[in-house]
Amino acid sequence: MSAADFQPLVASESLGLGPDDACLSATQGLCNICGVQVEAKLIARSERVVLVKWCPEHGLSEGLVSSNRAWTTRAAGYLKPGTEPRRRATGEYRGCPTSCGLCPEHQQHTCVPLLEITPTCDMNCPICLVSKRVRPPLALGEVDSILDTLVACEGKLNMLTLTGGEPTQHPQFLEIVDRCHRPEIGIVSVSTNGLWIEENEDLVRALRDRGAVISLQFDGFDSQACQRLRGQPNLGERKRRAIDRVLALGGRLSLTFTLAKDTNEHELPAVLKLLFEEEQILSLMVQPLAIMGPRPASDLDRLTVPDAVSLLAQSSGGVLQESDFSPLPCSHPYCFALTYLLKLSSGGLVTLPSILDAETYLNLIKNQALVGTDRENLQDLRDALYRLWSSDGMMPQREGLLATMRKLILDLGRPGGPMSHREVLELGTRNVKSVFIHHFMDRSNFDLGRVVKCCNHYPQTDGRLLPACVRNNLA
Amino acid sequence: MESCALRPSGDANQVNYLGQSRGLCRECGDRVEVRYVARGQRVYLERLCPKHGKHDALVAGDLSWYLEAMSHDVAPCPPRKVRAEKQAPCPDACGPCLFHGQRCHLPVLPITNACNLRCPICFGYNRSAPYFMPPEEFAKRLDFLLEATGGVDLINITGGEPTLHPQLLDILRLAKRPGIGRITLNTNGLGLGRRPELAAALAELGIYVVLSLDTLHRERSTVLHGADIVDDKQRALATLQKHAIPTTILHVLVAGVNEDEMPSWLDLLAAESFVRSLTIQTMTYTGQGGSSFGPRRPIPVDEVERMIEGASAARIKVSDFMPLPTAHPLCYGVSYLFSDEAGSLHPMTRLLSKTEIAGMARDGYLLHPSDESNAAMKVALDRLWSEGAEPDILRILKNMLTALYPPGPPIDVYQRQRAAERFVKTIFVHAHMDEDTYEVGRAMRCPDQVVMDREHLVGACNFNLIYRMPDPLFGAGR
Repeated sequence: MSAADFQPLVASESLGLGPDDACLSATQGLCNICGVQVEAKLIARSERVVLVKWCPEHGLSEGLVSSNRAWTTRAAGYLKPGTEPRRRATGEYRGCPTSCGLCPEHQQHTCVPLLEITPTCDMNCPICLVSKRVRPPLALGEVDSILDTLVACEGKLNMLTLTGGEPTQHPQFLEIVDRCHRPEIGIVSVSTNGLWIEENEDLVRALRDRGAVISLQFDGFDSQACQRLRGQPNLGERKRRAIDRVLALGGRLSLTFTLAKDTNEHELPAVLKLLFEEEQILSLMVQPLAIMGPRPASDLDRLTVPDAVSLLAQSSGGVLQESDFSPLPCSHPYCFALTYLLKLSSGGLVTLPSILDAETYLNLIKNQALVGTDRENLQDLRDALYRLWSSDGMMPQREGLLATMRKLILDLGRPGGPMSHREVLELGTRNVKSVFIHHFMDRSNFDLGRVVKCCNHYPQTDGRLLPACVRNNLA
Repeated sequence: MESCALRPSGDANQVNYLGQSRGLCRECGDRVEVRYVARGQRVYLERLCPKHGKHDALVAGDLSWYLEAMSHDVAPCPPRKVRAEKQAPCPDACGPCLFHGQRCHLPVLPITNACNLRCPICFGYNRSAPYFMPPEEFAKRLDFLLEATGGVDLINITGGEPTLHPQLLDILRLAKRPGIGRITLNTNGLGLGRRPELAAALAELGIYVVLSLDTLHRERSTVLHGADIVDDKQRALATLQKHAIPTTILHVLVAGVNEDEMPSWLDLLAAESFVRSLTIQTMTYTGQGGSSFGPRRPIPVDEVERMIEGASAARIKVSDFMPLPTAHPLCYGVSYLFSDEAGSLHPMTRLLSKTEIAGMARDGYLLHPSDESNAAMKVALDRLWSEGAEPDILRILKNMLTALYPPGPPIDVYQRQRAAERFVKTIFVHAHMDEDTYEVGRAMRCPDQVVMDREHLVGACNFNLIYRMPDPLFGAGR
C-alpha cells in the first residue's frame, strides 16, 4: 500500500449503505449501467435479498434477487448433484464465463436446450430478451449438426424447444421440426407468439400430427398490459382465439406468461383457469419480467420467484397453496420454482406435494423438470400412490386418486413390451400438469454463481452450448 | 416443506455445487475464481486458476452442518465509517472499503515485530532488528480507531511478542480511555513466568491476557515452537492464576500434532476461575513459518466442534455451538457456557434458544445482556424450575440474574459484562484463512480488523495474506 491509497474515512450511510444491510456472500455480477462483469455481494435487507455491485467506472448499483429472504434461504438447501454430460464442447476452463460452452467446470448438463432457428420476428416487443441479434436463419445442415451435438452430449433429450425470433418465420420451419423427430428426442416444443395460428390451421394440424407442443407466449387479456409488454393492445383477444383454435384442432399447448409488476398480476386467475380446465393445456410457465440492457442504478421495484409463488397461490381459487411450490434442485435453486398437479381420471386436479410425503415428492422432482417423463419416474409416482392407498391415513379425493392409480398401473403394464421413450413421455403429460416459475436474470440481478449450474442452454452453430442468461446478457 | 429436505448422501462421488466467489492462487497470487463444492458430506473450497489448475481445501466436514450454519441469521452491522472511495475489488482496496459487510468488533494492534521465539507455525514475520512502536504512534492509531468505530467492546494488543516492548505499560495505560471496554494482551507467556513484576502490573491495570497454549508435551513443543517451552507455559499459568488475571487460552490446533490434547484445555476452562474463555484457532498455513509447515491439513470449524464433543464426553456437543452472528460461519463458531463453582460447564443452548443467544451476541464477541435478555432468562428460569431442573443450574442462573440486573439504578453494559464473566465462559472456534481457504465473501464479513496505520482498518486475513507482506514494519522485509 502506498501513501496514495490513504483516504479519509466517511460515514458509510453517506455512500448509500443501509444500517440494516447484512452481508451474506460474495459473487460476481454485472454493472447495471454498462453490463461489465464486476464484484458483487448478496445482502439481506430486512425481508429482501439484494445483489449489490461495484463497478470501477459507475460505482454502486443494485438489483432485487428475492423479495422473501426466507424463501431464498430455504432454496439454498435444495441440492441435487449435477449430471455429467457425455461430452463437453469446451475442453478447457479459462475463467467463467469467458470459456463458456460448457467447460469442464460447468456443474449441470443440458436439461432444456433452446434452439434459436431464426432471428426474424413479426413482433417488436419492448421486453424482448433476444432482440437485436442479427444472424441468418439456420440452414438445415446447421440444425442437423446442432442436433448431433446435443445427442452426443446428452444421449437422449426429454424436450427440445424451438425458438427465435419467431421460429415459425423460418422458411423451412416444418422441415426443422421433422429433423428434430428422432428417437433420442422426446417432445418438441415450439416457443411462439401464435399470431399465425388463426390464419394457418394447416400448421397447427401439422404440429399436432408430429406430437409437437405449441408453447404460446401469453401474458393475459388486459390490453394495457399487452401494450406495455408487447407493444400492441388487443393482443389478448387474438391469443384467446388462437388458443381456442388449437384446442379445437386437437393440438397441445403450454402457456408462457411474463409476469410484470403492477401490469398483469390480475390476469393470473384467468390463465390458471385455462390451465385447470383445458385437458390439452399441459403446463404454465410464469416468468417474472427480466429486462435486457442497461438498468437504473437501483433496480428493486420488481417481482421475483417468491412473489410469483404467492400471486399464483392467491389466483388459483384454492387449488394451489404457496407450500405446494418448491425450488427446482437440479437447476440453481434460485432460478426456478415449480409444482405439479395430478389429473384425476374422475376429473379435477390435486397437487402432488399435497398428497405425497415430502421425501417421496422431492425424490420425484429432483431428477428433472418434467415429472413423469421417464419410466422409472412414472413407476415412482405409481408406487407413491400405491402407498397412499394402502396407508390408513386421511386421503383427499380418495376415489379419484384410486381410479387414477389403477389407470396408471394399467397403462404402464400394458401388454406389448416396453414402451418407447416417446410413449412414456406422452403417458406422463396425459397424467400430470405443471406450473413453473422461471426467473431469467438480467443485468441488475445477474449472479455468476447461478450460471454455473444452469441447465437451460442455447446451442450455437460452433458447437458451444451457452447458458441462457450468459447468452442473453453477455453474448 | 422443510429446508434441506433433500438429504444429500454420503457418497463421495456425489458432487453438489454450492456457490462461487473469488480467492487467491497460492502459486501466482492472482485473484481467481473459487467454488464451494460438496463431495458427499465434505465441503471443499475449489480454486480454479487458469495458469495453475485446480486445488481444493476442506472448509467444512459436514454438508448438513454447512447448510444449517449458512442459513443462520446474519447481524446487519456494516462498518460505521468506510474509506471515501473504493479503488479496486475486494481484497485490493481494504481499509475497510464500502463493500465491507461487518463492523470492527475486535481491533488488533501489533506494537512490535520482536519475538523471543521462532515458531515453525508462525503466520507473522518477526525481525532480528526489531521495531517497537512509540507510544505516541500507538495513541494516534487509537485516535483513528475510535474515530472509525465510535468505540469498541475490546481491543487486542499483539506483536510479535508485545511483552518485549520496553514501554508496554505506557502503551497499556494509553489504551485505558473512554470508548475502549476491555484491553486484551496476547503473549506467549515466556515473560510472565520470568518477570513476576509484569503480571502484577497487568493485574493492577486490569488487563486481560490471551495466552498462547498449544501443547504441554515437550517434543511437540519443539515441533510447534522450535523449543521446549512447556515449563514456561506452566509458570505462566501459575502466575496468571496467582494474580487472578482474567485469561483466554489461545490454542492453535495442528492436524497430526496436538489434536489429542483437547481435554486438557476444556478442563482448564472448566476448573480455573481465572480462565474465562478458550479460543481454538485452527492452523493456518501461511506466513514466516506456517507457509512451509506440513503436511497442510486445514481443520474446519465444525470438525473442531466435533472434537470438542468427543473430548468432553458429549457434555458440550456440536449442537451447543452456533456461528458467531457477527462473522462468517466458516470463520467463527461459539458456545457460551454457564459455569458453576464445582468446575462444571453447562451449555447455554440447553436453556435459551440460539435466536435468544444470538440476540445478545449481535454486537461482537462479548454478550451484551440487555433488558430483553433478562426477560428471556427469567422465562428460561421459570421453565427450568417447573421442569425440575438441577438445583445447581437454578442457583447459578439466579445468582447471575441478580448480579446482572441488581436492584436499584441500572448498571452499564461494561459492568454487566464483567458481572456476567463469573457465570458465563466461552469457547470460540476460529478458522483463519490461508491461501488455500481464502474467499472474499469470508473476508468481507471479517470483524477482526488490524489497525494497520493511522488510516486503515484491514480484516485480519486480508492483512495476513495480502497487506502484511508489503507492510514496512510487520511484513517479511527484504
